[in-house]
Amino acid sequence: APGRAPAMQTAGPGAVASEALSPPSKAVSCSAPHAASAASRYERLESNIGEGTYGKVHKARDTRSGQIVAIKKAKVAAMDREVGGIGFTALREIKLMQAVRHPHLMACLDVFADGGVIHLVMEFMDGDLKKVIEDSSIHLAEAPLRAAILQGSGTQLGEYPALDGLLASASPRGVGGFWAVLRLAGARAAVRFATRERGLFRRRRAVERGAVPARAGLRFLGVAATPARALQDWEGSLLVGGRGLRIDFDALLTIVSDAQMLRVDFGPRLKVPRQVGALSVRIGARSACGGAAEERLVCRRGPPVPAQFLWAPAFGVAAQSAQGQTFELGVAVDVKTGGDKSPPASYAALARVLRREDMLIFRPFDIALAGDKSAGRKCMVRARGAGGPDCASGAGS
Amino acid sequence: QRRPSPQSPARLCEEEGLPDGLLRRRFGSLIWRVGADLQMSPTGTATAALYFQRFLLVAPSSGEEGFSTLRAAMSCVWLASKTLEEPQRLRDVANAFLALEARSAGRGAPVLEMEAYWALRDEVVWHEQVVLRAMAFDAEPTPAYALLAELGQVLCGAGEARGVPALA
Repeated sequence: APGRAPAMQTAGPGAVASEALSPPSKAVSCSAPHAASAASRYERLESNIGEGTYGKVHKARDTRSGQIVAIKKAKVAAMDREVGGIGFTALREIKLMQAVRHPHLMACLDVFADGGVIHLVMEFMDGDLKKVIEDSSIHLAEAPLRAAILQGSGTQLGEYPALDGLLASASPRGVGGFWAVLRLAGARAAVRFATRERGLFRRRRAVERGAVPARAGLRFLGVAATPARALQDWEGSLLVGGRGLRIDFDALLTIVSDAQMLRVDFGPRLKVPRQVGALSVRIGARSACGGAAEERLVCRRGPPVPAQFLWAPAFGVAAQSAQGQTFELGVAVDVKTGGDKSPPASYAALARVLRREDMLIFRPFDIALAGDKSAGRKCMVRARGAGGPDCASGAGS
Repeated sequence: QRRPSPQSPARLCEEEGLPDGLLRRRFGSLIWRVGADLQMSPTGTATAALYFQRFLLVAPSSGEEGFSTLRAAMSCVWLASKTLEEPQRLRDVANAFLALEARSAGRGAPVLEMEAYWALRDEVVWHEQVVLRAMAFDAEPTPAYALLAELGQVLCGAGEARGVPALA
């Protein structure tokens, strides 16, 4: 992402004539909302450099420090108008912005009320994430991915030479909606991190035909790996559906179908599996423990996820938490390739809850195979593969 | 936004002339009673009380510059209900304040006419911004357990007593 704008930046060519945001008002009190030190401190350089749900954004200069700032002028939402006074949206944003202090996050420098409207003064950033996502020349930075992998696997990066190639192959589009898989299999673990644009394509198709609300779906799918040994004791094969369980269906479908089609790219260092011996799915709910980076899922069926199984890359969870969002449900897919003795490869997907009403109700496979009522069962049968000893155990719902 | 006049018809409470300490106690108590009356959560009421005390730390004395302590207390309860996402209707807040205030003064509960209510609403909205400004828009109060943990750390800084703040 582009760095912060330096202080003392001059106005761009599109800048309009400088004007104070509000005329200096009579100084009445330090507590008064119309205090002269608030709005008149900022000199407007450019109007409407952005507009969103929250309101309009102006570019301005702090006359005291010379710093270029962005001033967000809150719009009064319909709900806020009904309640009156300062709006929920503004309050939430103010609270969050003041709570977050991080060099990679824009800081909220000041808040003031002018003419009854709340203004947020924030650091100015020339550009936004959307531009970064859409710019095909920008690749995923290596550092956050490495951090994510370290966080997810809890092991040293040096053990995974295949990682370098995979990092290089990360798609720039992955920033917006990538799903990634870390796979840890066998005694000598190897990790593969890959992006799957196919999942995005499938999601787009689902959105186009109205099966998936546009805002739901594959916004973020953190995937972590766990040592296969930790999961070996558990043989339950379960696919849970029904009311109350809401997960990112598309994410699950992508993972399962990848396993089913044997299209997971395990890399040259790993043996490519010829068949899926067994496939099991576990659904987990968020445990109410700890801070954001320690957020874990505890399985409702089957054993709890091991303690070292961190369900999300740290940076992802932190970003989510900063936006007031959190993971509520997740799914783990354990795939056994080969015979009985081969350890399962575990895939874990997290569903991000944007809004409850946006989330999908989990009904196995009925989106992908609409129209065929028995398709779900067939799909599960296919997914279990041919002749695996675990075929009979468990039952897909 | 219109700045209300101190002599507006909605000014129903006599609050001047009280010593500062008594004023704080009286309105602090009133806020807790209003919170109970509105069935707000203890956290919500405590937040409102904290807002009010923080406001009084920097606000000029009651009656000056159009500030009304009662309106500020109302706005604190209203603001806290919004901050904690358990919104209360302003009319309910106002009714609770006026009724409980009147009861403690031995009077009957006043009837808030529509016109008086809208005038009151304007005042409370204005006071809400005053309160926010006084708190430097920091609407996220430090939770009590954080203060307790800090106190524990200060008091038990060495030796075996370290277990207490750790436990906290």
